Amino acid sequence: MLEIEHVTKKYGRVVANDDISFTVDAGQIAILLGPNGAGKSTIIKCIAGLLRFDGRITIGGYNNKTLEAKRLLGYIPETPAVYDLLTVEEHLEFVRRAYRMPDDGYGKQLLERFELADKKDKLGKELSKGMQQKLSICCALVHRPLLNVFDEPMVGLDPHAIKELKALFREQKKAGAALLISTHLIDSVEDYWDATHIMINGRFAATKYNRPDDLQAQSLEELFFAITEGGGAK
Amino acid sequence: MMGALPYLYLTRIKNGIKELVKKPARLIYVLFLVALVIFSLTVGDAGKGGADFRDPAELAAMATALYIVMFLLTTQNGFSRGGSIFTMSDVNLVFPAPFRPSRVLFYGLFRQINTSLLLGLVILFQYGWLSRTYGISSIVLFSLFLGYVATVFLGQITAMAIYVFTSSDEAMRNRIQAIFYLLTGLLALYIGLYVWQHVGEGILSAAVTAANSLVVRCFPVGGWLGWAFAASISKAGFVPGLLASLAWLALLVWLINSSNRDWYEDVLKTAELTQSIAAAQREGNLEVAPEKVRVGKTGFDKGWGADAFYYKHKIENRRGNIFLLSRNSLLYAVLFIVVALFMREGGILGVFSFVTYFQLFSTALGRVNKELTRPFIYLVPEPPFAKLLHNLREMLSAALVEASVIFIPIGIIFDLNGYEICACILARFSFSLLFTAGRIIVNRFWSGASKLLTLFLYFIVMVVLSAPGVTLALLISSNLLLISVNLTIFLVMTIVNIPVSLLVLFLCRNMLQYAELNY
Repeated sequence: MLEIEHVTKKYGRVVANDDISFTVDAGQIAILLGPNGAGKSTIIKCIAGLLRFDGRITIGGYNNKTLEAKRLLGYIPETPAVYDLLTVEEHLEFVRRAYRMPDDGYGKQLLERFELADKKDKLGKELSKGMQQKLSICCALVHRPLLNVFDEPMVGLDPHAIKELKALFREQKKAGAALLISTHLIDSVEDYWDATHIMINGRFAATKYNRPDDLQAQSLEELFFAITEGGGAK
Repeated sequence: MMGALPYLYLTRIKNGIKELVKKPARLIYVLFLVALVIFSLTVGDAGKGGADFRDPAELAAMATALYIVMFLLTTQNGFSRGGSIFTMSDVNLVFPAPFRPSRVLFYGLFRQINTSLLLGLVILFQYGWLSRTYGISSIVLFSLFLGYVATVFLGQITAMAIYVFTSSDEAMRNRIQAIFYLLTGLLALYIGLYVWQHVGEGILSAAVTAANSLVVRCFPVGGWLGWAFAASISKAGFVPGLLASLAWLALLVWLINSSNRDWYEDVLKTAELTQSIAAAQREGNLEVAPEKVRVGKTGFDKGWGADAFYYKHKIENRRGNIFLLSRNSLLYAVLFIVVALFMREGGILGVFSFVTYFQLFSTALGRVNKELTRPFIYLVPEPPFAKLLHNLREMLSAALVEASVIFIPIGIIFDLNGYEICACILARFSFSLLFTAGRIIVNRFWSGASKLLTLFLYFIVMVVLSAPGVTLALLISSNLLLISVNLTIFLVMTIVNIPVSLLVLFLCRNMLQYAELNY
């Protein structure tokens, strides 16, 4: 579903992503794990088509800048992007209309699931940071994308929303969607992942797969600290 | 050994200067600003020779009015969120440290002087027309600048004092608010009555006399500083205004410092709010939404695909604007009309240039640019050009209404005929389109640049894009006098600006595909 081939992104002389390649198949959850400043958000913004880069990114076989690819993508930014003067419900209506999706009631379900239904008439500017993050998640999912890219989705969420989001990850995976989740919190990853890429200084320092043969080695946490605190990569 | 607070104060200044060396774009921008100030001073002086100047009493009246309005606007914050002389880093690092609150307060006051100085810079750019119109020296301009800085500074301290003393006592807040509005109302009533009684002398002349009267000059802070400025023009008697302002500062500092109130808590809320506004602006939320919004009807009637953006803008405008215009646009319109009253003898072209200069800033704050700082417009699977055009649609009607609101009254003030007023409106509209196109060029080619560099590039691009229209207008109006000069200039600018804008939009039609969104 998602193919990244030799992607390099530079800001002036600073290399934020250095020759990164990986894939995320349908029904897979891939994690980008790394310390602050490792380049996780940059590669996610490249995938979302928000940054220029060298290399190739395809979504469902289409170049990520094409309309076909955009139709397949759901993007949840690190900083919630909501409109101050639209109500919660209008945000979902706007996204649905912009994506030319008829109203099948999914938006309402999402609002209920993330405890926003009673706030449907509140303006974006009246929401707390956590509620804005929930709304941002609902906006990204309402058009039923087949590839979901989450940039630090747990930050600012309350325990209930975190539980719902994790359940949603599993449901999406089961339904055949591909998910890419960036995080710097190892604990939040738990066991629902299929592949975890540990990023340091814009590169993949290691990739670990959630399958019996790979799990017999170091745990994800051990591997992460071995890499970030001076150990070798695998 | 230097104390911690002076160290913090000086180190922040020192590091600010070091940043200039490390970041050439910022250095270029600062040098550009300095060059602009020097240029304004030089050109202003050069254009002075031998001309007949207007009565400097008008300038004193304008300065007093500006100071009073600035003071009232700044002070009014005290009833809702207080002054913002401390940042969150001060709150987190300085407040818990073992310093006496009075020392912390003085540290905040010193820092506030820097901010007020920066806010006052815009005054220095006004030297050209002030010098040509009133024949003032650079020393008088500097007094005007200092007066403005002092007004902002004292306004912030007053707001802080009001907040400290009233934030937890609603009855007290209501009483002080009542006094505040009563004093403001009395001032407006006095000026209104005076102008009405002396309308035979001309409205402008009566307003100037009223603004320079002792009653207005005794109005707190704005009036006092206006008095001091007026004295700097006549080179005598600036002591009372200056002394009153200094006494006011001393009184406020003493009141805050000697009160047993824990003002740290009061300042915390303001600092948090200021921080959230700054963060919102860093994230691309260029204009803070009004505090009170009437939601009204909810939901979309229309909009499918790319035009959903247009209908979204319509909903946002209904909630955030007054008669299709934002609060900022309306404030600008009032300012332009007032300035036009004073610039009548300078001709409509002078006012038009002034208005267009400010249009550079207002266009940058418009909804079109705001949309480009959020991810939705890049993510929605619609052709980039369609998204761009639907994003611009809202701007067209707003620009036309804004141009009419500004230039119909100004046209009447300048005794322009209907054709000339229409030409003014169209020219203003064409500049809205041109400046928006310029912003799109900057986003298309330099969207990864820093905010400061983006602003600098924006100005350069605007100068380049405006050049063909302005040059042709001046050339044609000086050689072909088939119709009036004003009409020729405005029409030629419109005729050139619109195709230039459309060409830019066409050439940047895939901008949403290639721009970078750094937020």
